[in-house]
Amino acid sequence: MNLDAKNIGAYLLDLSEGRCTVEQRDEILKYLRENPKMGLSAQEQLPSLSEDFFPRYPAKTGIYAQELSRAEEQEEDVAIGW
Amino acid sequence: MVAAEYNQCVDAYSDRLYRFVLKVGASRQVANELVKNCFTSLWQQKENIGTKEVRIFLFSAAFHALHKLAKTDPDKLRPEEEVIYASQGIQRTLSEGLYTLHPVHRALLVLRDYEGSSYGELALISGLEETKVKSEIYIARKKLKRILIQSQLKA
Repeated sequence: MNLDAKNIGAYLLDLSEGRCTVEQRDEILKYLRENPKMGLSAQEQLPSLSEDFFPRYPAKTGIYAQELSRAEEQEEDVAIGW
Repeated sequence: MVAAEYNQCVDAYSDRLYRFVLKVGASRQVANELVKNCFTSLWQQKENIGTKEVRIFLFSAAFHALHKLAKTDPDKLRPEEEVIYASQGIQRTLSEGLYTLHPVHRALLVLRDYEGSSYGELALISGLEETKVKSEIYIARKKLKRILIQSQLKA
């Protein structure tokens, strides 16, 4: 693991979501101790969005195979001048 | 993929793709058009795409279309009020905060939190490296947290 300012966020996310080995966790904690000015924490709780919105696609009938196939046929007819 | 399989994909993904596009901030009109374009593209390439690849294909097409829109015509990425205010309490603050973030951050968060996409899938959808995806999501969540704290301090 080569920790730096660009990738530390990714490893903190791995740590908080339980994807780090003990060795990796120790390395992250060491990096945070050595770089206190970054103001990052290994135990920080970060918010997530919860599903609150369930719209229905209003033009669904227009994207079924039959409709798209019909549209393709019409384009071909125009292209050959029928 | 044959026509019947394609139609099953319409049933499985059109509402979810539409929600993703609206949640990132497109108006209903733009979202309608964008979703149609993604499915038209899938239909045209159906012989080269297996049913297991469809989800990544559709969300990737929408992700890149939204990214292009953010660069060329950012005014079209102003969310509708009912999309912002669909929730209450902390989630409403987070929903409002979402639209202060860069559209790429919005898209990654919505895909992760709404669609349950893995980081590997997010890398495929966005074209970013997986570590970069995680870093960007970490930054986005930190920004949302800051917004949440500020709103709680104001209250």
